[in-house]
Amino acid sequence: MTRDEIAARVPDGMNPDVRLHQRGRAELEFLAAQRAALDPLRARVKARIEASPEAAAWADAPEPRIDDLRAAAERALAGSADQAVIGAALRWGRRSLTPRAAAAFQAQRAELAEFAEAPDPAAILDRGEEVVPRYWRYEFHGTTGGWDGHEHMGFVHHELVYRYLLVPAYGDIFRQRAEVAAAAPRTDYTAVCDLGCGTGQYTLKLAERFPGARVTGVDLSLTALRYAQRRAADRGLAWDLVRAPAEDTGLPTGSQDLVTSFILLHEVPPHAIRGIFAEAFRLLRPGGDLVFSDVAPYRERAPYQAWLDDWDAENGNEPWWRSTATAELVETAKEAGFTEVRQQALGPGGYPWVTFARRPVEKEEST
Amino acid sequence: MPGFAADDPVYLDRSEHLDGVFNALMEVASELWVLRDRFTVLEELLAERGSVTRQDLDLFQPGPELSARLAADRRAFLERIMEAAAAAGGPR
Repeated sequence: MTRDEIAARVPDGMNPDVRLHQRGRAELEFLAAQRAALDPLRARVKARIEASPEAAAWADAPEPRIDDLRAAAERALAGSADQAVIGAALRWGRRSLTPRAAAAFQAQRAELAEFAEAPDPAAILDRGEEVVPRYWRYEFHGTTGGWDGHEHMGFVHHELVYRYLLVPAYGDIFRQRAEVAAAAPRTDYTAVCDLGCGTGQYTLKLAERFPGARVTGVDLSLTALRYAQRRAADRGLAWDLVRAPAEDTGLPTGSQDLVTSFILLHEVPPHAIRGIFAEAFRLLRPGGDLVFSDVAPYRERAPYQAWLDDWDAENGNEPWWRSTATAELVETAKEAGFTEVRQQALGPGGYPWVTFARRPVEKEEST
Repeated sequence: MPGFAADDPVYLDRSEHLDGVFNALMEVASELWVLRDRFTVLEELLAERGSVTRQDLDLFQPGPELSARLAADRRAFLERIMEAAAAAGGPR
């Protein structure tokens, strides 16, 4: 295939010059197919849960409790090995994924490192280990070795794991990031801050949406920030990148007019979510906007989907998904001082689920 | 028999061991797939060029048609494995 043909098949925002050799390609394609081959089993599980009157009644309860739905589903699935096989298969896939992607990188290191190196890593402001919170130490998503477990983990995840596994499994997930950026209330922001920016997938959409804005990305993974810097540089962009927790960025007070995040909140515990809203309030100028997009609340989901979210969270190393999907973020935003708080689903099934809020313009002191 | 020897030992006697066996099955299936893929690439290149080197095999990027064929084969292969594993659950 020519480069153009490859570029046409590579998802938006990825490097078409990254080409794996046969073994690396086939190993990662196997992982994607292994997951997809569970579809017939999943269809039977779905049919059983949807046929359960108990599970159907969950959605109509005045205060639906996810534990009740889990128990109802467990009864509906009794006598079938389908969900057990799904669990074992997904666990193996998750455990194999990062080591395989890292091995594929290693096998072609001489040629791939050229695409992975950050142009100016010293320009990334690192607030140091002392501000790294405890939740960061947990290997969420089951990423072997943690998010900085490989010198080029940012590259390995964005170019290999996303391309070979997450895009085939979930479709065009970059479009969702662009839609959230486009949903921000204004287009004339001059300073935009992306909390939990990772390798800059959402940051890039923000930079495209707000070309005049100074863009700041905050994340706890140094390797992700380094690859974000590279991805920006490849497009002629320069972002201010900071290694810090989103709840304690160290950035100047009142320095931003949009503070935003994409799928950050469900990775952190409730006290950190409260801290992130408070930090966003501090960072924003009066009149500035908060836009946080995250997982759908269980109450917005049909019973099967809510059950699946919760099962996947428990079995997929997502310790803070349940608390986030059952949190009252409108209240959290108001407690932090925000006004004009609203929430909106941008897609089907309540996802992406976006919380919008504004830091009020300070009133003149009356005499 | 006299002396110190177990005649009918069972080692994989915990339910966790079943997960281990499943994991090993996935490793074997994966390796089998990598070889099937390589063999398909080999056939493709031989048909196209008449001779190939190891580097040809490593660098080859399947086009849309071959990619689709490989994907269908992979899917069918894995669905057979998953259905075989799930069939042990009793009546549905």
